[in-house]
Amino acid sequence: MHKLEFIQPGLFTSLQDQGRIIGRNWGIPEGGAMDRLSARRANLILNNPPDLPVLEITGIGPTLFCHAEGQLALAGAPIPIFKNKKKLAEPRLINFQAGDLLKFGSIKDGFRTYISIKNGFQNKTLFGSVSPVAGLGPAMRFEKGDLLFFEPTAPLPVTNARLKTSLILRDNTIKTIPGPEFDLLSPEQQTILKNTNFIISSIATRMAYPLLPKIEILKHSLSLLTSPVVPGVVQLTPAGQLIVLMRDAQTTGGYPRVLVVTEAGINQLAQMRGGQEIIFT
Amino acid sequence: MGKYKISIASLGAEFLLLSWPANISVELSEELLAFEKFITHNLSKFILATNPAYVSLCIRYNNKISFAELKKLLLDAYLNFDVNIVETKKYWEIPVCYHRKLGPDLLECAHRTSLTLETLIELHTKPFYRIYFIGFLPGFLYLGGLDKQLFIPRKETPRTKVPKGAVGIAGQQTGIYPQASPGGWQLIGQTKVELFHPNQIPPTPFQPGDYLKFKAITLEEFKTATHLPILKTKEADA
Repeated sequence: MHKLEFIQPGLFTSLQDQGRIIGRNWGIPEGGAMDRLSARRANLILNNPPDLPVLEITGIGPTLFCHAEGQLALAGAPIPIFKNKKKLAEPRLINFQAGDLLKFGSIKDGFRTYISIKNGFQNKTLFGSVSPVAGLGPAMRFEKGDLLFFEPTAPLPVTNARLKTSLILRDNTIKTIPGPEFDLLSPEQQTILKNTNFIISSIATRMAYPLLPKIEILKHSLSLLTSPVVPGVVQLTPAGQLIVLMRDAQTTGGYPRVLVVTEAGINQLAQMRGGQEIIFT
Repeated sequence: MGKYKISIASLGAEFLLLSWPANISVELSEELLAFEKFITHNLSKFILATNPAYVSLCIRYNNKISFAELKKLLLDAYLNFDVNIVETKKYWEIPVCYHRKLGPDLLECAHRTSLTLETLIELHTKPFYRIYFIGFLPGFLYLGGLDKQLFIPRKETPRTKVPKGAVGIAGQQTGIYPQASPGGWQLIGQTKVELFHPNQIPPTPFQPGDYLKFKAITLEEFKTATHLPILKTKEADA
């Protein structure tokens, strides 16, 4: 098995696929790529099945030492890449040789880049997905010295096709449907959900994106028995704060589910970071 | 035919939610779990996975059917299903050491409830708690049946780390932390029983609809206590 080694892990780099279908009834989160569409695209460039494990880079990329030759494909947010300190012109495909050092820089436009390899990075699965689960074995993100394993294969011809930045939606309107408890809100509260510029909190994670500010009118005393939640559900806390649940969200929750972000909207949010503004439609 | 008025809401493109009236009861839970089993069996062409809660059931479905079509099939199924499906229930016993060293909030709980430590432990170990569902964290059991005298609000400031196996009380709930995590529950004891096995399918021996009882053990017994829950017959304990 060929391998790549993390010299620097980057801000938050992990192996992800399209998430798990089973396990919610045992309290196991779905997981998977935050931007599932870009993860599928990274695989499609190499004619891989869409759900193979890919590397998810968040904000700042890792530095990888190549122990063997191979080829990577990229999708999602554009990222500066340096091969042996020489900047590459942001190709979709990168060929590398044993001994090469690949440094991925800071993402400016978007927030997450996906890197695939022919036949996928090899890793153990937990309930059908490589996505790490908090508290269950493998760490949530890669650290210095960790290894990525892959099968040797013949590379595709490298084209000069650049990453289309238009693949990252610049639109900050997030499409939603009403959640199960939407009707419990007053007409005034319902209106304000759709007519407010919310800011993604700096503590946004793979589990959830809390939104700011807390809104006085959205304060409530609705009590809800613990009930299932899924990625995309927008919870409303009694203090009037909205929380968008993301791919690693817990399986049940007790706050009213006022909106549900569409699958496309989750992928869009995955390419946004703390401090950015959004509007629900 | 189901006995309640249920409603169905979309939770995005892959999930939908069935809701029963918001009153927790064993009867409602039994029906909900029976219906879950019924549709898992009869609508397997469309349903990929399900997960229940107290009064709601989440369904993950494939793209061979629309939300509107599946909603209709589910409502039809609710009118036609046989409520008398008898689930095989298991009764479990979990040894817990209620010692101040392992239950740091034990004395505070006794003080707040004006109970002696002995009575508090007796009240906590007496009932068979119903396992309503598993959620929140991998392997976390939502238990019902806590004695009213033991209703104690959660801590005002959560602990940054609660150890694996900690047994606690929060409001009207009691439960066991399946893994170390932050938490605001009042901690009254600890068990060595493993609630979750990441390398097994299923990863937990417990199922919604099972019952569970705590058994007090000493600090000495805790040192060599079992990592496996003990399977009981209800009759033997009654």
